[in-house]
Amino acid sequence: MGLLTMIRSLKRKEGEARLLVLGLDNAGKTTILKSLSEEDITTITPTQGFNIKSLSRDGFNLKIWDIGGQKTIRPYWQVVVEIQRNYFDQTDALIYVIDSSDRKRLEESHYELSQLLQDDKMGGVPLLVFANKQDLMGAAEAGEIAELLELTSIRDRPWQIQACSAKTGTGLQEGMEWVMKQVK
Amino acid sequence: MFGLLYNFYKFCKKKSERKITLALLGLDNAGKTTLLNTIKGEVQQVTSPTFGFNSSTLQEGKYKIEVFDLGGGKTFRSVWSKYLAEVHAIVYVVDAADSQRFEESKKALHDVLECHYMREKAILVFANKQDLPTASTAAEVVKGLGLATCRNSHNVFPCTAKTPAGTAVDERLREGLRWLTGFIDREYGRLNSRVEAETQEVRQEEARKKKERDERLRRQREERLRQQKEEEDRAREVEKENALHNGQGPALLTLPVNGQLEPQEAPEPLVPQQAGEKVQALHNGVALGLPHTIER
Repeated sequence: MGLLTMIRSLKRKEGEARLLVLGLDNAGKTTILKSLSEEDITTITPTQGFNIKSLSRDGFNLKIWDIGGQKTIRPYWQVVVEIQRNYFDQTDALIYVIDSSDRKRLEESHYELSQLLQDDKMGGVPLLVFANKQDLMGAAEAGEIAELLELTSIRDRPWQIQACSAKTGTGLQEGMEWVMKQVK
Repeated sequence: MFGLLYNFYKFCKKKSERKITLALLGLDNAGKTTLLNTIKGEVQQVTSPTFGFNSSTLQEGKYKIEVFDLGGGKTFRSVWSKYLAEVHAIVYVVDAADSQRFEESKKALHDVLECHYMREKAILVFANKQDLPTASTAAEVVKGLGLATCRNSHNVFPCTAKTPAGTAVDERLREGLRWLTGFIDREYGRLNSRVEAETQEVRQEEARKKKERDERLRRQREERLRQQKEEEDRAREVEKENALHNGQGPALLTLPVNGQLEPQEAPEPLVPQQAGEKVQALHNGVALGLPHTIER
């Protein structure tokens, strides 16, 4: 145990942060990640398992886990949260991606998020909500999203809504800036 | 004996330490997050627009103050009201150098004060950005926000939240806080029990709504499952029927079966169209499109 903790604390000092990217299928998780690392986003297929991406930022090394959002995969979200807790103490920030133009599925999105936040292992973890697909007509605004996802009842962690469009790249940097402030 | 004394000491200490909650409000770009950072002693932090919630703790005298820092953007102000039940007072920040937005700020503040959880709670107004040449005085801010008709206790403090490198933190920030805690101090007993009761009220209401919603979601899921099952049953029936059509059974047998089936199908309210399409698709020789996933 002692050795493992030591290794962990060493890793922390090197400036590593672990982020988790979750959200329903088709919300745009993988597109956001690829856009952030300036990769081609023209052909993206649904993520069946998960991708792990490394991003360097302000001398920090971000390890980002992007997990598929299909209904059949969602039970594994809890497993990944567990893994992060067991091996790396905790997830440093949770990035939750929603398709803000799809109001019908916002309720489903809300349900999955509330399940995640109820988990003790996610206690106090900062939450960034990427309100994606703002380039589409009828996208929900920040205040509306906060109410629909019931973020306004959260008191035990900082959270932020960042309007963005993974397709055009707007808002992504601002969101990551907020995450970096929480991680430091 | 010592245990008794120690408990008595702890009891006194607990009694003298008081907790209060404040909400930091104001339009976007008024300087709320910077002001909070400065009070906390984290000077020179670069901030970005807040579209969310962050809570910090301050100490002022015997008060442990929890501050909710909320975003002030136009699309975000609507959520302020969700926090008002559990605060003891409001800190309202105005960009005094931007008199063009006083009207908008006045409206936003007015909306907050309309809320019935706000009655008799104090407002500490910071007329921020006094370092800028266009900054309005406290009197002008009072006029701009229409505070003359405000029935809540209030006080305006001009200040400069953004401290230039190497200079001391603006003393007026602490002064403002001291005024606010002093005000709360006088009514603490009554105010605090009211805040606790109203917070409880809001929490219960939230829990009730959550229960309702979960119930609704559960019912929706069951309904979806039922529909799916029915569709499958129907598809199986159609398959059987099709087998008959394909000349296995004698012609005489097909007719009465068809005649019996049709009136049975008609009163079925659930997805008749889809089922019809499937029948059609089967007749046309297209493979049956069963749902891909079975939800549980």
